[in-house]
Amino acid sequence: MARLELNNIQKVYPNGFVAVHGLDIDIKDGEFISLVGPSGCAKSTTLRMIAGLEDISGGELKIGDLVANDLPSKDRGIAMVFQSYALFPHMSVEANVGFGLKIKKVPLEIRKEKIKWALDLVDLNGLGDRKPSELSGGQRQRVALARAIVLEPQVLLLDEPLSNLDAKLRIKMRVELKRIHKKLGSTIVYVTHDQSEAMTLSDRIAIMNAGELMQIGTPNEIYNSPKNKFVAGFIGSPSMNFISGNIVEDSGKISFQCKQGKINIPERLSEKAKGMLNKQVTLGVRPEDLSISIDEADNCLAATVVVRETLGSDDFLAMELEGVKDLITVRIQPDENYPLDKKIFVKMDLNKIHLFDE
Amino acid sequence: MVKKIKLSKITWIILIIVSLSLVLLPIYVMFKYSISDRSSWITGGKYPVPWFPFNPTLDMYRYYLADTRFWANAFLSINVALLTVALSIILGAPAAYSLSRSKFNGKAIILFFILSIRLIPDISSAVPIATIFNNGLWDYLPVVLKLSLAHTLLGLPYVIYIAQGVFESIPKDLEEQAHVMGCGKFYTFLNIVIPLAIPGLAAGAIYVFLLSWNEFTLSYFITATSSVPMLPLPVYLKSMFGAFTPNPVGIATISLLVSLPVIVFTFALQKYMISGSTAGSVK
Repeated sequence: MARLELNNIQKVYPNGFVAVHGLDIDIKDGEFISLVGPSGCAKSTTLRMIAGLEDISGGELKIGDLVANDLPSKDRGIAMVFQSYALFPHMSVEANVGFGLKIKKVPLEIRKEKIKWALDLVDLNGLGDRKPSELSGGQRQRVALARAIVLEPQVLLLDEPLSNLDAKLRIKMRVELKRIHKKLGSTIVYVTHDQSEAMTLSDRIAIMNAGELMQIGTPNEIYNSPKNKFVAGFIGSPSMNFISGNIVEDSGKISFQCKQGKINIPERLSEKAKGMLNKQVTLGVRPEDLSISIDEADNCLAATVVVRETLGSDDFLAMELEGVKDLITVRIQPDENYPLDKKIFVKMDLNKIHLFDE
Repeated sequence: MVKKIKLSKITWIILIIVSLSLVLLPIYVMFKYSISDRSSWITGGKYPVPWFPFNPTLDMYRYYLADTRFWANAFLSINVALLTVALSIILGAPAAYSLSRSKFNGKAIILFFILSIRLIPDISSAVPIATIFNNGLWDYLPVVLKLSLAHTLLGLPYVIYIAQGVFESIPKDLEEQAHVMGCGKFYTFLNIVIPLAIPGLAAGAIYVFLLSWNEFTLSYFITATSSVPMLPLPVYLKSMFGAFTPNPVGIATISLLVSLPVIVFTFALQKYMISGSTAGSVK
C-alpha cells in the first residue's frame, strides 16, 4: 500500500508524437482511482509507464517515497492485471498464481499458504489444479486477479480487466472488485473506457483525452460539476444534452438565447456567463434535469417527441428541438405519456444547467 | 435422397481406395522384393515376376541386421540427424524469436537472406560446401560433425521460418506479465515462450530430421572427397549400385529399414504437436 505520484509525466515517441502531455495525478494510499477516456487517450500508456513496461520521457513517477522512473518493474512493488488476463496456458491455476512468488524465491510452504489465501479471496478454491483453458472467462479473470493480489503489491494496476466479460458477469465482478479492494485496502489504478465502471468503482476518477488530463475528482464532483464539455459528455448515460446558442444581456438580465427559445441564467452561473457575453456557447443539461410541459412557459424550448425508449425503471424520450437535427434526451417516469410528433415544450431545472465554451 | 447419399459415399470410398493404393503401391513393391526368394525375382523371362513371392523369406533382413557395416552407417545417419535437429533448434529458435519480437528496418531482407540457401539447387551449393569442409582446419572435424553442420545449413532456414511464425502467435502480453512479475528476458524465453512454442518447434524438428535423414547431395560430396570408414545411409544405398548389378532385394530391404527411424521419430514427437497450446492464456 503506497501513495503514487505522477508529476508532469510525459510520453514522447521516437517519431516525435507526444502521447502524454505532462500528467499530474496524486493518488493517495489505499485509494481506488480510475483512468477513463475514449480509446487512444493514452490511459493504457500511462498505466504501462507506471508498470515500467514503457519508458517515461519526462516528469517524475513516485511510488511511496521512491522515485521510480528508472526502476525495473520488479522493484516497483506493483502488480498488474492485463486486459487479456495473460495467464500462462501451460501452467495450472496454482502455478500461475504462485509464479511471481517463485520468482521472488519465496519458500514453498509460505508460497502454498499465500496461493490458498489468494484463491480463497477470489472464490476459486478447489480449482487450483485446472489449466486456464478449462476455466470460464470469469474464472480466468479471477485467476489473473489472484495472481496479482498474491504478491501483495504496493500498487495494483488493472488494465480494463472486465472488458472481456459479458455484461452480467461484468457487473458481478465489479462488486467483487470493490469487495476485494475493501478487504485489502490496496492502492488501485484502474484503466477503463467504460464510464459507468469508473463511476461505480472509484474513489476518484481521472478523465483523460488525447493524452491530457481533463478533470480529476470524486464521481459526484465529476458528474455534477464537469469542468468542460468533454467531461460532461463523457460521463453519464445517456449522456448530457448539448444545445448551442449565445449569451445575451437584456436590461441587466443575462440569458441564454438559442433558436428554440430563451433560458434565464441562474445566479450561480452569472459570473461565468458574463465572461461569455455575445459569444457562441454550449448549454449542457442532463436528461434527468429536463421535464416536459405541454404548454409554453418560461425557460422552455419547443420540441417534438421522436422516439420513446422504455427501460422499465425509467423511460427516455428522444426529442427533436425545433429547427435542429440533433436529438436531445429527456428522462421521464414510465407512467407519463406524451404525444409523438407534436409540438410540446422541454423545461429545464435551472439549478442543474451547465455552460461551456464552444 | 437416400440413394443419392449412398452413391456419393461410394464414390468417396472408391477415391480414397485409389489414392491409398497409389501411395502404398511403391511401399508394397519394396516390401515384396525385400521378402522375395531368389526364384521370385530372377525369372529369366520364363514367367512374370509374381505379385507375392513364392517362398517369402526374411533372409535379407537377417543378413543386413547382422551386418556391422550397415549398423555403423545407420548409426552415423542417426547421429547426424539428431545432431542436425539439435543444432538447428538451438541456433534457429533464438534467431526466430528475435526476428519475431524486435522491430527494425530490413527485417524482411534478413529473412530473405536466411532463406536464400534454399533458393539455389542443392547441387550448386554442394561443391563449395564440400570444398570448405574438406580443406584447412575444417578437414580435421569428425565426419559426423561435418555432415550435421552441412545439414544444419539446409535445416536452419526452415526452423527459423517455422519458429518465427510460432513465436508471433504467442501473445506478447504473456511476456510482459512475466516481466512485471520480475522475470528476466532469458528466464521468460525459457519458461514461458519455449514451452508454448514446443508444438511448432516439434514440427520443425520432424522436418529437419527427415531432411537430414534423406539428404544425399551434400553428404555425397562431403564423403566422396575424403576417405571415410562410414557413409550416411542414402550414400551407402547409392554405393550398392557400384560395380555389381544392383540387387533389388538388398536395396528394397535397406530402403524399408531406412524408413523405420523416421516413423519412430515422428511418432515420438507427434504427441507434442497438439494445437492450441496457448488456449486460455488470453481471451
